[in-house]
Amino acid sequence: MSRLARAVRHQLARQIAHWSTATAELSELDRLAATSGWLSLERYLGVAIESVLRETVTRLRRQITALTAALQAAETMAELDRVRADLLVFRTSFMAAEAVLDFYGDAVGTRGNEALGTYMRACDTLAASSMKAVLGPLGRRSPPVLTYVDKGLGASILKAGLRLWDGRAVSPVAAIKIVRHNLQRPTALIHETGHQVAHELGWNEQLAALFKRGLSRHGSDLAHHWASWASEIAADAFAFGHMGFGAVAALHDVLAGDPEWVVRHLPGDPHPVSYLRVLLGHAMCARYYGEGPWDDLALAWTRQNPASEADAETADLIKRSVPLLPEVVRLLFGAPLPAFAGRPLGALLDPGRVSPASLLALSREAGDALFSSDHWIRTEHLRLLALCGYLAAERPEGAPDVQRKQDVWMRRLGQLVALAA
Amino acid sequence: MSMPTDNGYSNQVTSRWQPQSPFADSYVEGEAGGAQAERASPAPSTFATESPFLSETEVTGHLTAVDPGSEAVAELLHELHDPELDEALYGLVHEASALAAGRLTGELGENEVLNARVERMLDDHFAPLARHVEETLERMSEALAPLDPLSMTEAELDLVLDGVPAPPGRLPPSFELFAKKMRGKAKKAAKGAVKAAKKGGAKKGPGGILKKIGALVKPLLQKVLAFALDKMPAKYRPLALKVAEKLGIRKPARKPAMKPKQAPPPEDAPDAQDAQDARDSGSLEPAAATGDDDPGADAAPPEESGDDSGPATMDADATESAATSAADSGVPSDLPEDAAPDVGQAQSDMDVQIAELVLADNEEEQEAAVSAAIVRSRPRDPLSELDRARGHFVRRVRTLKQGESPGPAVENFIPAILAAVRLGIKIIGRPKVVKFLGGLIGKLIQPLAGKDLAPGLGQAIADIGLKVLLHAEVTTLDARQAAERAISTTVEETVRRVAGLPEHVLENATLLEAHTLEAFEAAAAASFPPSLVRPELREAAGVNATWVSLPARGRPYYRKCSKVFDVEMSPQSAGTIRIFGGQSLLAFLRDRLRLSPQSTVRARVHLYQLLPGGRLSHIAQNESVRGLGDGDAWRMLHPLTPQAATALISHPRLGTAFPAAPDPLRPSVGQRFYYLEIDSAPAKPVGQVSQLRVTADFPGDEIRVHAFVGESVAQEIAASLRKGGSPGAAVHKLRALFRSELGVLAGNDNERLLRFVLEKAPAGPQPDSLARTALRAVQRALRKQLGVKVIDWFWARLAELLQKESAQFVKATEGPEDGVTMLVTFHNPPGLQALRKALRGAAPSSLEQWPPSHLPNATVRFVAGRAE
Repeated sequence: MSRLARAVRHQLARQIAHWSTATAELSELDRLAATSGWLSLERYLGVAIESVLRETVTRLRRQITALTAALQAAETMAELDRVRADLLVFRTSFMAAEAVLDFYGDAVGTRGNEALGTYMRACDTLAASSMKAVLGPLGRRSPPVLTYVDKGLGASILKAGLRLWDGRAVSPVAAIKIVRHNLQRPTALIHETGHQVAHELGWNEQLAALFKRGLSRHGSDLAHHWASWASEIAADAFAFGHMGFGAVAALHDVLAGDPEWVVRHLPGDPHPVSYLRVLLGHAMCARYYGEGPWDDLALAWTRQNPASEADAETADLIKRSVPLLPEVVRLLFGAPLPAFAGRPLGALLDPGRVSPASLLALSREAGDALFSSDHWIRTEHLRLLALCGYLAAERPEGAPDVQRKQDVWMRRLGQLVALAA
Repeated sequence: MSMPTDNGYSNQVTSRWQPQSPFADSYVEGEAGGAQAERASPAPSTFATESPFLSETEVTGHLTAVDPGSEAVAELLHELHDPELDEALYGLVHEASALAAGRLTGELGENEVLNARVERMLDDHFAPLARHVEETLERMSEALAPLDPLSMTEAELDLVLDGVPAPPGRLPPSFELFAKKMRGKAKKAAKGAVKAAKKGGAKKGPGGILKKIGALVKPLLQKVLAFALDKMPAKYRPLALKVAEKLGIRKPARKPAMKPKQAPPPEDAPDAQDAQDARDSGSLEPAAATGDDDPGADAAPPEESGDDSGPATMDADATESAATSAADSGVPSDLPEDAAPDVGQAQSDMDVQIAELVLADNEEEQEAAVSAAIVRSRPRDPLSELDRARGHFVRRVRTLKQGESPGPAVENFIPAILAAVRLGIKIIGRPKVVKFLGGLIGKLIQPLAGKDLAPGLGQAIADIGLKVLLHAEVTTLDARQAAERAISTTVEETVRRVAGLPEHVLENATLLEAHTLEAFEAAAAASFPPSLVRPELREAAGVNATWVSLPARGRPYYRKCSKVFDVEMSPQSAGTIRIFGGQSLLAFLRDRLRLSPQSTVRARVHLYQLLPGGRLSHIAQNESVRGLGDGDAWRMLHPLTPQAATALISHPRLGTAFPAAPDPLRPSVGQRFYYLEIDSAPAKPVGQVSQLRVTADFPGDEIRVHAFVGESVAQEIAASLRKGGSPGAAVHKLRALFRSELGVLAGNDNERLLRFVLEKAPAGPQPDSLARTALRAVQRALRKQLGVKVIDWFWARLAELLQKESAQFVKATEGPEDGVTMLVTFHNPPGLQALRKALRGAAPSSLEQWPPSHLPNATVRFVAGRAE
């Protein structure tokens, strides 16, 4: 072997040794997140995540083992060059794997605090129950849910079943981010699980097609716009079906930013123009509940965010869309779709169950036990969240009291889940 | 085949007779098939003797009149007993057992040094708990010291004792329940002492007694330690004497009553004369003890089956002598011992000890009582003896030469099997019965014996059992050991079943032969792969599975069926299956697992069978199925009765016989259990199961009904009442909730749900007389009628209160407590005192109306959570 080859070999050997050590480090999952964080997960959830992470590290290990063997066998410069090329591929794989591990490590890490861990277990359960309500009757299993806390304005989801950053591993759970400001009002969770449900059922595509067909008589361009927003509208409808007015009020508060932003339309953005999105929520309330506090919400919304602030094209879009909102709601909840086994969404998810009247009736029936009884917490946690959302939206001055009650029952739910794990 | 001789046995029977093998042709030379006797239910070879007072607080014996002293004892013992303390002790046993298991694996108790080290380790483990409880009781005692407890009301006593702070330092969670329950027991003892002192039945106040109860904690924990190591501590006997005296049953001294290490049978036992004859003549008939070489030598005949058990039935002097002898010599008592741990006995013993303290006339008597309680006697270790004998047996069978009979090997094995079973003492003194069994069973297993020990058998078990359950490679050695285990288990199970046979069968060779064959067929069907068993004998048609002994390493405590059944259970079906405590499986699913009572449940049914020394916690701990894997999960296991086996998996013969009121803490060898793995349910129970029980307190002249309504149903009822629903609808829901218990209460075997607090009965007819049998039948019928009547009264008073004050029920549901308890106390119920006399053997009154038609006054309360 020439001096050059020896020199190259030496450099490669050092790098491979380095990456080998780094790979070994990755396999220590406790270094990714505190043990208490892992313990905050339900067993099946922890097993699912750990299994994917270990597979990811195992793939890296196999690669590094192959690299080591290739280097040992390499004698010519050509062979050493191939090892170098493989090493470059490995570096990319390592970075992608690290992204996977970091993501889950960070997510699990946010649950390390015992009180927060208990709270997040309750969020996991709320999210899972919301999916089960629709997927269960369709004979589908709900994926496990991992909720975590992060900064930001809005929630997000890394859906279960999607390919992860390394291009190999598949997301084992629905990982849902809850932003800090919404921790005490986690109705946005249900919007995110709506995304997962839509993904599982192929609802987005069918809804887009439905909008294209159903709204085409109002102009194909308009129908096209609404079809392009189908995925977010589906998730909003899902959240409304479970949370009622509470979901609409919470969405309003997230979107209530700069008026200019409210009326902005970005082509290709799956989110509807915020102005229309809030009014769509109002239309859902109006269709199912008649008159109510949502009317004032809409009134204030349109006053504070005048459509006239929009550019001409968006203003036209808004102007033509507003009259269509009742029809959009009818299509959303009333049109049968293959995704729902030929039934409409409303047959699986009745917004009437979370109408103010129903929620207040629940409150009367269960009395003081509603927020303290394990029975009600286990069987009605979704409607409890809807009730708290409604009460806080309807009577802001009573919000601190509602907040205290919500904190109590959610922690109890988290404890019950831990006990039963 | 030779005919039986006059005495029932032929010396040649085992050598000339050819029994029909239950095995399929592959293991039988000659023709398979033939008439099949109806299968007998396996005789429950229980580990547990009856608790002396407290499985039912009925004290019986030979009193001539109601005695206030005996009433006080009956009430005190009833008050002291706490079923949750049994569970706390069970938890401690399990925890210590798990701690010890890691250190004893593979040793099977043969290493004395290691055993001693583990015992020390467990001693150290429990030391902080003992200190904590002792100190708590001392503090309680000190709190009472400056007061005059005899002038205080119960509520004032409660206030003082509840206000005593716990000693500093935090106990591990696993110790907390025990510490709490011991504190509760001490409180009850203090109140009992005050009550007794006020009635003149006790000479000492409660303060000193509390301190002395502290001294009883270590002996209690010593028993826990022995249980954890699969040993059997000597039972507490001497302290029962004071109680016996108070009850008026202690007989005049009759010393010397016995030879050392040999207890005479009770005088009224039917075998007594025969036993004496046998000792004198060496005849075939039972001898109570056969000498030091016999593993059963320490055993004495059991109390007459069906007779009332408890200290009152014991020969007090014999008890005293035997216990003294045992304590002096350091050898086990001659009295019958439990064949395996019974934690309930430990509490019962302590309650008697506390009663002794309360009833003592002076300080010296109290000191004597405590001294007697803390005497440490060497616990028996029948399981290690059985392990050793089993090992010897399989080695002998494996090395038999062509044509050589396994009979002698079986014969040598039998005593160790019998020593681990209480009922074994009926046979152990009958060498010819043992020889007969050895010969017969030897013939039956002969096709399997020899050098290769049925290689096909090992392979079959490996294929359908070990590989399925262990998910691991099965070596030749594993397969051979499985075959050995199948053979030895079959022999053990056969012998155990035979040990439970009645005397007349044991005394008749023909009957004994028939029953032994029947027992062997059933045992073989449960131990061998179906392909090797004649089709008509198989436990479950079409099920290709076998029972595998587990854990795979160390001493096996249970067997698991290699087939897991996928089932769908309708609410109707679950409603018909009874579980522990008399409740229905539907109630368990609804209250404990929070599953909808309207929905069909999909489950995987795992089947288990207990082996000697096994507890339900062994299964719960060692199984890795979701929901198990933790000793505390024993509460998720249910009795696999033939009825449950039919309703769940449609294979009735996979079920086993259980008593009318099966007790999860006192299971028997051979009994089977199931676990439901349900994906839609939480892995651990989250609520408490609804429950109804009744206590008829004859001395107190009241009947108490305690009905706990699980959280879900309580909330449903409250919601309905808030909406203006009718009380009738609420009662309807409650009647549906307690349907299973109501059925039990109105049935013939309602002892577990209808408990009697009753003093001793006066001398009655001879045990085996028609008069005695008739009296018992009458008592049984009266008990059943009382159960029916109390339920009528209960609904009437409950409906009344719900009609007037439904808000009380609603209020009880509004706290964070789990469920609601409905407490109904009937005061001076009509007919109760007349019934009391009848139950005590007096002629039933012709003046008293029965069943009574008058509805008694009652106090009804709704309490949040589960009230005691």
